[in-house]
Amino acid sequence: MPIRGLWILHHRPGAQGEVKFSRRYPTVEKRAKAFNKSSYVDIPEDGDLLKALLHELGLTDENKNFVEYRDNCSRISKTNVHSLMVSEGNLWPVLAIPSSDFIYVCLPLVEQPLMPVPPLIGINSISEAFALLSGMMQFVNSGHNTEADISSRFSQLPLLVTQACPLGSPVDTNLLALPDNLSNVSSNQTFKSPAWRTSKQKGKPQIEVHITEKVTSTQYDKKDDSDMWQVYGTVSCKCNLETISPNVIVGLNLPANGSPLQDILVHPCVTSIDSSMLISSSVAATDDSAFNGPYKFPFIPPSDLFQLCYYTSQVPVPPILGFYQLKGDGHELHISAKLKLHESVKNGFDYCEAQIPFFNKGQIKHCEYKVSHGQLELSKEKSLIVWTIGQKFPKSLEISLSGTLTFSSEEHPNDPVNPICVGNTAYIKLSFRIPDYSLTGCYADQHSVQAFSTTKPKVIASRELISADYYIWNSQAPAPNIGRSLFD
Amino acid sequence: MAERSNSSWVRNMASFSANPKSFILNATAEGFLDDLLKDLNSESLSEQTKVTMLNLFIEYPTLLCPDKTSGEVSTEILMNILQQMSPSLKSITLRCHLLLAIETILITTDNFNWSCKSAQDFASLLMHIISDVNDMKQGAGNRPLRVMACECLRELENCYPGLLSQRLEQLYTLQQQERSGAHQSYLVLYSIALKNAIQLLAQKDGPSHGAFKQMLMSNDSFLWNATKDMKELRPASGEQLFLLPTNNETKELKSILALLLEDSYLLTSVSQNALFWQIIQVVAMVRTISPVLFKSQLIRLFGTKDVSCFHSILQMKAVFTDSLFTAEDENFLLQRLVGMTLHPLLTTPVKLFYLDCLLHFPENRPLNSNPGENLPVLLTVQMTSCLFPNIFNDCRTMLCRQNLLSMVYLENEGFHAERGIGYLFQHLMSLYSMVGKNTSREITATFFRAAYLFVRYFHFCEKHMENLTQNLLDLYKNNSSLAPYFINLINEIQILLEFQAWPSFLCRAIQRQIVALPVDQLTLKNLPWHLKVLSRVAQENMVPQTCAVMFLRRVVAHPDLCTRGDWGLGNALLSVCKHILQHEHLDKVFMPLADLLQYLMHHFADIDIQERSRLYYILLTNVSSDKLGKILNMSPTGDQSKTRSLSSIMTESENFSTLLTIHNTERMVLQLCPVLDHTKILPTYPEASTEQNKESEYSLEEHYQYLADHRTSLLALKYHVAFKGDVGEKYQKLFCIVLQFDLIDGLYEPIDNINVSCLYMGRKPPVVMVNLVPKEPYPSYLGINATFSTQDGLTYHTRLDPVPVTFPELFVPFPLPASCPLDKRCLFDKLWHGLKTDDLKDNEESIFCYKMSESSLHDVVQSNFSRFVVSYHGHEYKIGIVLPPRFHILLCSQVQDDTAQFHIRTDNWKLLPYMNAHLLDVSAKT
Repeated sequence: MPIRGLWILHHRPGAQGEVKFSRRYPTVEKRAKAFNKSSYVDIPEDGDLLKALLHELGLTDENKNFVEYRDNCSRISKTNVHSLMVSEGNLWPVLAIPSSDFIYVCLPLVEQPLMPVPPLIGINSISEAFALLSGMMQFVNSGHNTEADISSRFSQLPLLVTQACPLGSPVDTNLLALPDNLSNVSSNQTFKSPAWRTSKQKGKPQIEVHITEKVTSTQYDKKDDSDMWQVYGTVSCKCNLETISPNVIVGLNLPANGSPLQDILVHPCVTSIDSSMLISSSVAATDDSAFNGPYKFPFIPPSDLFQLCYYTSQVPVPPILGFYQLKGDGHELHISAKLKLHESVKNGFDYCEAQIPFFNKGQIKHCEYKVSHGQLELSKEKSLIVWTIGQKFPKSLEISLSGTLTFSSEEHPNDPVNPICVGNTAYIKLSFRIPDYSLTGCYADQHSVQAFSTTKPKVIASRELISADYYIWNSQAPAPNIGRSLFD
Repeated sequence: MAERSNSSWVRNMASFSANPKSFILNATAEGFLDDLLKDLNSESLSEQTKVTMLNLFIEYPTLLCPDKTSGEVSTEILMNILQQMSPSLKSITLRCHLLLAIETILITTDNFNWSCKSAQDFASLLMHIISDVNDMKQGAGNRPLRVMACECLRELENCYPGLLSQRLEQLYTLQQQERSGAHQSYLVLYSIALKNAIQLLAQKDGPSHGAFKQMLMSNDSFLWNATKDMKELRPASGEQLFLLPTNNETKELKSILALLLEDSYLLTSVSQNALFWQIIQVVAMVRTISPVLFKSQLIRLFGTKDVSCFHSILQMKAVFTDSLFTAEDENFLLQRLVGMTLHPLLTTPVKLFYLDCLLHFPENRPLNSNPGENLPVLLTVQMTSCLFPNIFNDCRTMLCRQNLLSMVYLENEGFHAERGIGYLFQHLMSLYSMVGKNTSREITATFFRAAYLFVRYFHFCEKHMENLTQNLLDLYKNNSSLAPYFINLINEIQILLEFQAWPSFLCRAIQRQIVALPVDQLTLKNLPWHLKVLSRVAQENMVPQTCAVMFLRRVVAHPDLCTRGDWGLGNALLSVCKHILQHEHLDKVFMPLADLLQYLMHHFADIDIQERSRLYYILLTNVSSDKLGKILNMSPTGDQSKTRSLSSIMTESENFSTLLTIHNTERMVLQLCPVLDHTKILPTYPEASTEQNKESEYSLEEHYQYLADHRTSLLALKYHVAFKGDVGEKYQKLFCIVLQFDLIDGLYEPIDNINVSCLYMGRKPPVVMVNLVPKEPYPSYLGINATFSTQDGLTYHTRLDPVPVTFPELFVPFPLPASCPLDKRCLFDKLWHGLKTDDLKDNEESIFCYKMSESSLHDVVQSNFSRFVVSYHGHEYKIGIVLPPRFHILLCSQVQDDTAQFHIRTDNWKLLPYMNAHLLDVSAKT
């Protein structure tokens, strides 16, 4: 179960790497020697580990066209678990997860000889390594991202890691909320408290439930390529309750015409799950009698904001259907686009805009256009048109844009290039947010939240729909295919 | 040694952590351990510093305590410190770290055993600490210490399985009683002790009746026997031990396990994983307990988003298969797992891990026992249809999904699979369309990997393979610099599919495409790539080479090529010839090849290429093809005598790589020693010269400009390259030594490698000059690595001791540009005037006094500053020092009242502390 070492490395392309944090567990190392026997490989010093890892990740020789060890076509790394070439042999299994400029590294203990190489699924501590690194990542990325803030978090890290993983066996991975031991156990308490820090703030008892749904879509307006869209949601919670170990039940409801939630994944603080909630899955064909709520989650709330559950869903239509045509060659292009908001979707946006970028074409010199609604704006870089649609679609729920663009022939070094948008392959990217709305229909309210505490808490429920990767491709040119349906 | 301050400890520990092994090897580290132990008791050090000091013990115990005795002594001292501390809340962190440090030293120095008193005290102390359940005595503030003590016991039990096996009852009671959040540590500790106790029982032959009950009720002392031999740790998945007690006997154990599982939802997910793993092992050993025990936990685990909890259920599946999971459960778990591999809200690394788990899924009824990747039987085409790769995935996901789907379509025949293969090919083509269009190298490499995977699984699909070949040819036509990728693809496919014709088919197609090219500027520009490819193609016996030779003849006939005599190009040409010489059907190209070689030896304007063409020509015309192959294929491995003869016959050979392997020396072989400067004579300056050069006067701007222009050559440090101590016999003659410099901090510009031709034991050591270009003139260290070859032709790598660059080594005398016969005194005066204290600049004045006589001052100046003296008369010395890149320190010194006064002016006040330290240092030596 334990790990042999933990590191955080700093690496920026073109710059030398640096070890920002390192922790070794010598007692675990001693066990590793006993378990791995002749296949045991010692951990090198930090500097050598850094070099070996950058080499393994292919982050060295960045300017060279082809380097055999790095670019060999049979070298296909399938997970983030690596084998590092160090002076004594190959150090394995090194879990390395890059995140912004840092690489988070963990070496779990394998309680058996390493030859033949055992599969990852059989290494007990591998998942703890994932959990621990993700906890460290969350901690480093929490709060502001200025250099001073980050370095102050790095200075807190050694103590927190000692608390979360004192001798190599992790006891907790949420470095942001390690138990604070301030709560006294009352002498007549009969139940056991949870091992995580629970809420017990003073002030008005309150429970916040927030549903964020994101919708992705890829639309082609073509016969051969079927359009694709997907919804996924996160339910976040923050509880402010006084009791030591409060039990809360949050229920999510679906209206009669709502889309059932699929692939539900819940936070570990959820104490039990109704098995019928888990049956609906995007992987298997589900029958029509699928469970459609209410989805009840009993849990013991952690002190901070946390993600109570994740889900996906299949809705019958995308919220905004569009088409986009771009024609012409050389320096003059004709574009026309149409967007239609589906009538079942709430027509009240926080913002809604369509970005129309032009790659590999140079700068827009002249632009003539007509829009039925909203405003059009040319970006400073002159390679992007932004169509601001605003807070509402018109009554007809349909808007259109047509125009002619002339491009200057001279090239600028900063003109955007894109390996996909070559020729007339182009897209419109929609970004919007609809507050107080969810595409699945899923909601929580005052009645669906129960708390077993002395005073009745105030319930604040909210929801929103946000676009994520919402693309409408030019139907007049080839477009990269995303959804492949073998069954139609 | 005096007590150090917080800041000096912080500095010291930082340099320790930066390079622990060298720090310990370093002479200054002597007494480091003693100082650490002593200062941990000091009252002036902050708790934070002490915690950091203890961290050194926690992370590097064996470096600090290299042997058993020092480990024992250290733990004794630390135990004393711990016992003397008041149980105040303030010191809780320190006390926790003391526990960890003692534990770590005891285990790693093999001191945790019956005969070590501190070990016994420590173990008892831990038990004592954890017996304060529910914070009854010490209050909630002490809870971290209890948790730490539990963790220490857990690690002891992990290292010495069975240590706590005779105290199960006590541990059980404690974990039952504890109600605070600390209970998870008690619970996990108990579960580990229980598992190990049962394991001990199972190792005994036929445990007696009632042994179970006795074990669970035991309330004895530590089982010190368990600490005897740590090498005996049992692998988690080794030969399975088992016990078959009667139901009556396991009744109690069963209820205990059920209770433990019941509380599991209160644990953090990593601790749950630990707890489940222990109970899984217990149930796996005690065969009369049914795994159905876990049923109550399954639904919760099925739905979890946490990676450790979900991994737990996969492990249960692996251990218990159909005794816990019905076929329906198995299908459901598989479905969940596939769902996890594409859940948009999970991170990519975790999803890739689940993909890997999918290919190693522990099935109830596996079809084969192949340890590699296997497709679960229950995984259908439909279940994986959402896993289609697309170009918006990251590269790794793309390849993994392609790999998985390829396996799925290979396994399942029929219309859907057929269609799937078509889609996979389309995906490959979308990647293809991105290559070479300003894409990153990563996309290029990914495309070739995807092509490799496609060929691996679907090389039998003629339609797609033809299509792929055609696209690859187009790609090469438009982007010949991808030649190495093509060669690599051909090589790898050949290794993978030994008897497949496709690689050689591709070779032939590319060859045809190349030889059909007109000899124009573009072809010549890409010629190195074409030659690389042709050289590889020539190794294919199935591919006729006549057209290639004809193409080469056309190329060499190009007027420019031979007259330019580019050695690299000639070498590449000869490389093709060399491989054709070994071709099975050499006879078919005999004449044209002979012509080509003859042409090269007469016309190619490089003597080496001419010679080698001649050699090849002679070989071709005189040696039978059997022998040719043998001569050209001589391998440098094994027979050392051939090593040197190779270069004449081989052009570029992969075989060289065996010689190029760099070995590490066992210990340090080399060192750099500074060459001491013995100039200790004060220069003489004619008094009259002051007036002379007024007109050719040198302005300060010119001076600064001079410093800027010559920044790379101002400061040259000389070192002897010498052997370090006695070296082994094989290192007594070293050749081609390359010294590489690492800069520890960014104070200086990177230093170029230095080559030294040879170093013999017994001869005068060569001198090397390091051109140091400081960015900031502060002292530092140079890290040095060296590679060299020895007499037997092997290459070695060794690390040298870091060389300190001291502050006075950064001094440079006033420069004397040749164009400007300058008077140093004049420059000194101007600078002296210019460096008056100024709040806006970094200028600063200072004075340093030291009691000494006039003659001592003379000695000090003569032995330390002779190079920098610009003038002296009477007993006043003016000393001007330049500190590259552009700083100065000016000194005026004389003796008054038996005290030497050094008036200092500088344009960088940050240098003053260093200068003061230096002056103190040199003055104290008089």
